[in-house]
Amino acid sequence: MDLTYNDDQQDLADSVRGFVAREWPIARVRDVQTHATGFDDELWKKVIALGWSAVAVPEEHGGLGGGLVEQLVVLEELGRGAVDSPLRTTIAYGAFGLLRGHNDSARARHLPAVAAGEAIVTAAVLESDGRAVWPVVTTDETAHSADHARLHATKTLVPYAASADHFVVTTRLIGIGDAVLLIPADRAGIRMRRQTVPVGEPRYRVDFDDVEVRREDVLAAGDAARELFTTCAELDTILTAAYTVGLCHSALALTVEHANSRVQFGRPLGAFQAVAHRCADMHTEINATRLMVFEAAWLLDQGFDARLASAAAKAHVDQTVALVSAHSHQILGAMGFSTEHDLHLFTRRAKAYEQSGGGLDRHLHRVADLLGL
Amino acid sequence: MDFAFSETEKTFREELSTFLDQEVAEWWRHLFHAEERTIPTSRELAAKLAERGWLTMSWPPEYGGSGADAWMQVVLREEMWSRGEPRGPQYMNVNYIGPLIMHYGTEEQRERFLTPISQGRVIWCQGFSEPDAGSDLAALSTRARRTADGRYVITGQKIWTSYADAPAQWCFLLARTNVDVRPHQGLSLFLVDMAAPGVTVRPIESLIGTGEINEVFFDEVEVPADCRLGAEDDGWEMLRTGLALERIGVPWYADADRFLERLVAYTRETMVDGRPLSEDPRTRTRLAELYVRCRAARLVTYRAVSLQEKGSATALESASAWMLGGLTQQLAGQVGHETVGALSVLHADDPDAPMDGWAQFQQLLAIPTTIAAGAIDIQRNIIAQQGLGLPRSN
Repeated sequence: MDLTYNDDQQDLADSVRGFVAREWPIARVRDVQTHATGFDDELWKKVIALGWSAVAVPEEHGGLGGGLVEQLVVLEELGRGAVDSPLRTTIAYGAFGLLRGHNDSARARHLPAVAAGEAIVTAAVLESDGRAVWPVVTTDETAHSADHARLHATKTLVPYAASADHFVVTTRLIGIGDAVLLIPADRAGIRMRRQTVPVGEPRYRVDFDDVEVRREDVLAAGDAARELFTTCAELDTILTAAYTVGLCHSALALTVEHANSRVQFGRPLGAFQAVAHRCADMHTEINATRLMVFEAAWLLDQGFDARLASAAAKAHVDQTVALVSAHSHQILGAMGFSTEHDLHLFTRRAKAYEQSGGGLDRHLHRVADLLGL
Repeated sequence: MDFAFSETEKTFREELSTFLDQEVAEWWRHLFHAEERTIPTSRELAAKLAERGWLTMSWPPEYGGSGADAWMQVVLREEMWSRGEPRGPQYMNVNYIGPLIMHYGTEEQRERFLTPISQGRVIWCQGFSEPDAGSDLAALSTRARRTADGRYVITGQKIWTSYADAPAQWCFLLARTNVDVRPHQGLSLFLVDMAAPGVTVRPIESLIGTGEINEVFFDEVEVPADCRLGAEDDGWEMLRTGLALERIGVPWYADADRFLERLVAYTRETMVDGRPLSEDPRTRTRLAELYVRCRAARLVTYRAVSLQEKGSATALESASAWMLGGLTQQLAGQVGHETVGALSVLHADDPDAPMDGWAQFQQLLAIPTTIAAGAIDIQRNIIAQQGLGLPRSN
């Protein structure tokens, strides 16, 4: 047992932190989110050149052969800088969708480019109600055989759709049943609209309007599709959680900075216990969350059952985000309500991830199931 | 990062668990369950643990240990606290009183005090809190005056002293030796014989029963020079080290985990409107929340132990761990109360009490866990000031 970084993990964390400070200061974060696509191609090329999309991909597939723990080290540091990128979906749905899917030829064909980050993969999984992942499809919408299926779907909150090379899509097809597909972004019939999300990664509504589905696009079908989606979603949850932990660390750092410098009633705010104790609680909860998230990743790396650890970790993340967001904004007061201050860049991103992949209640029920309740 | 216990540690846990299943009496509820038979029973168990080399295994061999790493000690603590700490008051000796004597004591003091601890045959109490010095411990007024020949004469009153009436043979006492410096710079630690003339113990009735907590009066108690621990006026720094050890040494999460298991079983057996209570959505999420909080408290404690093993400072992590452990116990008490409902008022002695009265007991246990060994708001101050660099509040 050792809940500290080893030397390699510490070096990795230091190098990502250095990169963020050098290449991706907060001014750039503000700038990128106003780009038409919300995507910074120049920086993405630097990120993938450092191998950060391939940390946890096995070496025989062109990856670095590290663990998810190391991948989380990267994500946490990126979160500290509020550095958005298509990294998490490219890894969780792209690399691991191909790795754990049941399509050898797709894996051989696409994985090297996906692991290298040259092909960006995003997740078009959330149905337009923002809750379901698997659609209810009626027969008259999809008349086809297994070899010539047509995809009709509307997906929401799809990150980086305009920059993606592939969409991972969850759907239900006649003759196939539930399916996880890897659809090239240039396939005819795909339309998208950037949704209005002022802060954070760009999100799109994506319509798949009678899009051709080829056999080679099917990563998994039937029960295997549900399993594959669960695997990818769980990974995405953990990667996102690590990123969110980084966001929370920075929200707290900004709050502490304010509590130390802002003087009211003749002393710094932090000298009031009502303020100091909120900071202490944030610190404690963020660190607890962080350990839970790393534990889930470590269990997956070891091939152990991580279902309970993952569900518990996500539940804890959600509670921590709610706490950090409420406390930090309370302490910053009106300044935190102003977009001139950086706090909202961290808290609004964190709030978005609080509900992604299902919020607190869903994950507590998942924990309850796994406890045998 | 490595989140697993080693094979040696796992084997030890199994061995210990089998041993405890046989040795811990059926009726044993908790260290805090005041009954006449509690103390003799805990003495017997501590002696048996000592015989097997388990009581102080992480101590060096010259002081009766086997040099095991801190994780073996973690396994031991968890198995103890998940069974209501059957070592009784002696857990404290092993957690921090022994280690402080080992670290700051003279060779003579080590030989004199550590052997009885490692053999499981001595009960200590801690003389810290006073009627006018609780959270503001450094404001204490019990006075130790040095005589011309180097002895000390101690006069004052301590309160909330657990196990003093067990009876404890020794008191680990913090007293003022210097009134001319800032309050926390004039304190010293003493190892006081409770049989010395002038020591009086008065038990205080607590929510859990009589005899858990006491007042201890020191009236001109003579303490020889060789019973001062460390240098004069250095008590506060030593105590800070000791309390950090104490705060990771009591895994409340292990106790809450055990209670959660009981609650899960209870909700599966209990029918409400023809359905098992375990299907009720609110009950499910409340028990799940307790599970999540237990897991978090456990990991923060492991993080503190990881740092301790590397020789890094642990004051901050142990403050977080203690706070989360206490809050987890508080949640356990509340969730138990909600889950069992109206009948959770029934005491264990009542034949109608569900779960043998555990819900009632756990509610009471939830009260001191956020207060003892430094109230959680004091932990928050430690985290804010030492960890985050916020200014002192006064």
